[in-house]
Parts: sequence; C-alpha cells; structure tokens
Amino acid sequence: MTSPLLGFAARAGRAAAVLLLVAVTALALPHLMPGSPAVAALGVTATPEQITAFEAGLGLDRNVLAATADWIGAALHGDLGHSLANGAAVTTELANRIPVTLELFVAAQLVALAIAVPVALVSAWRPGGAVDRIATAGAFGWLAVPGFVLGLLLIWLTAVQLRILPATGWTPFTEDPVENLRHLVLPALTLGLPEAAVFTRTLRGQLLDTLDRTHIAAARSRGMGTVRLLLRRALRPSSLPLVTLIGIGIGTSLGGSVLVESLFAVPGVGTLAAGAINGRDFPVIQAVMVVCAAGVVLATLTVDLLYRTLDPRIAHGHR
Amino acid sequence: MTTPVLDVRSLDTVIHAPDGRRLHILHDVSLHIDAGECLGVVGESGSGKSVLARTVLGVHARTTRAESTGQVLLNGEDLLAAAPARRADLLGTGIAMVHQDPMTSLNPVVRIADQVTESLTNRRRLPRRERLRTAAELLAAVDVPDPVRRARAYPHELSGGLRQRVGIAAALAGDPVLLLADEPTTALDVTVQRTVLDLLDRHRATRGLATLLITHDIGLLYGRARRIAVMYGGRVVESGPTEQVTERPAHPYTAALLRSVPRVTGPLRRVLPAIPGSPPDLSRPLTGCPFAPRCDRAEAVCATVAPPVHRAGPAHTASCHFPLAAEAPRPSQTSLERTP
Repeated sequence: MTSPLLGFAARAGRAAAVLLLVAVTALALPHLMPGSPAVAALGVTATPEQITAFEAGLGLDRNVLAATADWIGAALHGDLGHSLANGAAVTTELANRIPVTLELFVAAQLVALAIAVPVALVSAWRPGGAVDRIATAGAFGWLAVPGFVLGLLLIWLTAVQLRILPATGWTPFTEDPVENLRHLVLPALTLGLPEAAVFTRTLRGQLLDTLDRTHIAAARSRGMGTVRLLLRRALRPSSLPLVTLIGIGIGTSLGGSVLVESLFAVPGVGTLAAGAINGRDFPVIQAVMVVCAAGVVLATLTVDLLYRTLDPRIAHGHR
Repeated sequence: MTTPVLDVRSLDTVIHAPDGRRLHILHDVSLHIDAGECLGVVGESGSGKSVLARTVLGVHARTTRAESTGQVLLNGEDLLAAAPARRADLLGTGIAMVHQDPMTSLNPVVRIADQVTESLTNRRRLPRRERLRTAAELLAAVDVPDPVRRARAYPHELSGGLRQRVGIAAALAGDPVLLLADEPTTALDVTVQRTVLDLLDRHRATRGLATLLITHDIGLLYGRARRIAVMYGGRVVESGPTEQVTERPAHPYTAALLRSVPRVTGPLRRVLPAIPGSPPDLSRPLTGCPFAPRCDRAEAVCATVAPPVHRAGPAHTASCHFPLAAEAPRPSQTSLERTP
C-alpha cells in the first residue's frame, strides 16, 4: 500500500503525460490531414508567398515538437491563438461555449439519474415484478433508438404539436433563467434519456448483487424499513459503476453533444468543434481537443477520489 | 409455571422459492425457551434450523415467500397472528439475531457505530454524538478494546472475532428478550469461538436473555445449552436436557451425529464415522420417518408410518419407531469436553 498522497501525485503525473500527448497530436493534425489549411483559408487564388506567410503564422513551417512547446507556453499564459474563421481569440470563444456544454451535460446527467435511481431501486427490490419487467423492456427499447431520432420525436411532440417548448436556440442563464431552462429541456432529455436506460441497467444489476448480501438481511433483522434500507444501506455500495459511467460520460458527451447541439442549435463546444472541423479552423480544433482531453482527465481523477469516499476499503487499500 | 419467552407450537412452514418450487421445510416443530435459558438446536445443512430462526424472527429471504401454520408465541403473544406492523416493531427490540458470518453480515461502507445502533435509529433519530456514545458503550459491553475508536471505524478495519462481537453488540442494542444465534461461531477460528460463546453466555445470564443457539456442531453445546433439540428433515427428532441427549441418545440420528464428532483421544488413524446418504428432498412429500433411508435400525414400517413420540425420560423425547435403549453404547464424553 502506497501513501495516498504519493498515489495521487503519480496519477497527476500520468494525467499530465496524457495531456501532453494530446497536445502533440492536436498540433500535428494540420500536417497529417490532406489539403492545406492555407488554401482552405485563403482560397485557390492565393500566391505561394501568401501561403508561406500564412503557414508561418500558424507555425506550420516548424518542427511539431517545437510548435507544441510554444503552444503550451502560450496556453499557460492564457493564449490559445486566434480563430482562422473570424479572428476571435480562441479563449474567448471557449469561455462562451464551455458553460453551455457543461450546463447541458449536468442537466442530462440529472435527467438520467432522476429516472434511473428510483426505477433501479424498485426493479431490484422486486426482480421480475411489474416495474422491473416494464423497465427492462423499456430500457432495451430506448437503447435501440438513436439520439437524433429521439430528439426529432421530442421536437415534433413538444414544439410542433403541443407548442410548449422552443424547438431550437439558446438563451444564456444570465440573460433570462426561465428562457434558459425552457431551451435546456429538449436537448437535456435527448442526451439524458438514453443514458437513463444504461444507468438503470447498471445500477439494477449492482443493486441485485448488494441486496443478496447478508448485511442487508442483518439490517432488516434490526427492523430497518425498505425505503431506508434501499437508500441508506444498498444504494451507496452499489453506486461505484454508476460513478464510473458518469465519468466516462464527460468524455463521450462531447461526441454526443456535437449531434444534439447541432440538432437544437445550442451554441456549445460541440457546435464550435463541428464548425471548426468543417472550416479547417485548426487553432480552434486544437484547443477543443486539448480542453476536452483535460476534461476527461479531470473527470477520471474526480472519479478516483469519489471511489475513495464511497468505499472506505479502497481508501485503506483493502481492495 | 411461568410462560416461556418463546413457545413454538406445531409450526409448519412452507417456502415458495423464486423458481416456483414449493418447499415444505418445517414439520410440526414444537419447542420452548425460558428467560435466561439457552436452547441448542442441532442439525446438518438443510435440516431447517435456519428457516426456523427466520420464521421466529419473521424475516425471510427477500425473493421467497413463506407460509406458516401453528403458533409462535413470544411471551404469550402469537406472532404468526400478529399484524405486520407489530412484527416489524419487534425486530431488533423484541427478537434479535446474530448472523453466521461476521465478514459478510456487516455493511462495508457504513461505520460500526451506525450499524451497531440500527435497532435504535430505525425507531427514533439519534444525533451523531449520541450514536457514537451509545455505540461505544455497546462495544465496551462485548469486550471490544478501544471502543470509542472502533465505533468510528469501518468493518474492514476489524478482525473476524471483533466483527462478530460487533454483530452481538448490534443484536443487544435493542435490549431484546429473545436472541437467535444462527451458527454464530462457524466462521471463526477455534480459539476465538470460545470467547464469543462465553460472551453470549454472559449476556444470557446477566440479562435473562432467552437464547436459541443454532449449530451443526453438537459438541459446542455441551455445558452451554441446558436443553438440546435435534432437527432432521425439518422436524425435531429428539429433544431433552443436554446431558441426557448427548449421553443417552434415543434417536438413531442423534447417536450417529455424536459418533461423527472427531475425537482427540483414541487411536491416531481411524475412519471418522460419517452418516451415509444425504438429507431428504424437501420439495417432495414424505411419509414415514425422514431419516429412514439413512438409518441402520430402519425397518419397513419406518418408510410408511410417521414415527411415534417415544419418552426416553421426564423431559426427553424422540420421534422413532425403534429408539435406542438407555444402555446403548454411549459416545465418549471426553470428546465433547475437548471441543470449545
């Protein structure tokens, strides 16, 4: 058993190495991709001199590692370069987009958890019961529906038929909290509902395992009621896989939210990335890649720490 | 004559298993325990002893459904006829249970203090300070060293012996009148077994606690249980004072059980007498004596007619067509004294 502090330092070191690797890859991207970003930006009529000057501006004429070192140096000073498309500072762009994507992600997780936790608890308490059978069938049905189909169905139902929610667009929370929430509902549901199915299946399986343990029977023999038993004694030891799933979700949510953000015209990191890739806007692509990698790394570290609080045996190195 | 704390009369229990099977586990089980008395229930796996404890407690496995007929009287109150709320009310405070394996019967992510005080906190809110104080007192009462620190610990930080003490402390927390101990020392080292049994004995005596001590090890009951009930195939096949049952067993099964206790004395290498065959399949109806297929004294009648109750002594009975006479070969007493 190593000391917790040392273990954490080792993890942080590995995280830094991962980020470095992502940064190198991101900066090598223009070299690896077919076609020249300069031609894409300047048009086919650009003179060789213009192209050379443009590539020098991007640092494309230099060694990738040296360019990476410069990029990291600048990034540490809060400078991620400027967008090729509109010349805006990438940091400003990200500062506008990240809160939107984060809000969407958190809302989607809340939707998923609000459905998954109660359904899984009831399902696991009475396996094979009515709730369990409906939830099982429903979960597999949900999983088979692609996210964009679900999103279109939701738009059709709430925005077209019932006219209760806006179909697309976004209002920042700081501008109008109510409008912000109204715009949040549909994309959050589209992201959260399929996740609810996965969460329910995972949590249910883990709960079934936990509920068969003797300590649950022991708690019942001391007069613990069902609700208390499920919430206070069974949920916590069963929640580790769920925490892992949410952690992984932070990484994959970018991929998922490119689709959902485009569908609902939400100005988040997803739409930024999609636009940047279409326009070969390399500074933006690179920044998004590194920022997302940082998000994943941070999430993994958080999951590690959460494990320790949820299961004291891990903190003491017993497992 | 005073009312016994626990009086089980003609108890029959049928378990409906999740796979749809109907298992008739307990057949006409009758036994009683007075205040401050320890009744030992002996039997091999599948004899129905654990189902007996769960039926008395009123908590069965989550996925099974149990139906019982007969009477389970706790201080004269019939629990089988009691409302579910009343039964729930008695859990931990009227009847408490000590579980078999202390490694699995404690929740790994819940502090000792919170588990030990469950019988209390399930009824009323206890502030954290109060919980820790009460838990420390309970742990001290079961000889856990450094109880204040242990109350804050998690189960994995304690040894097996200490964990079983925690299990006993949790059972005593609600100040019950009846303690059901289901193989409380089976998972423990032999050296620890004795101290845990002594601890149970001490609390039985000082609190006047009626104790049902379930075990598959008949030797363990010697000198601890005043009376013994031997179970086989869901029936009490022999019951009586410990000395009489162990020294002059009337039922061939009890005699075979005693013969199969390993002895410390005698020749070094010899075959340990085992009982051939296996216990009856409880999903099938059974006429006659459940032990007949494995019994060396069985005759044709044993397979077809339920055995009559034979009186071997004033309080000593055995259900057998051909009970052993009092002068039958006795198992050595020394062997029993050597086991903890």
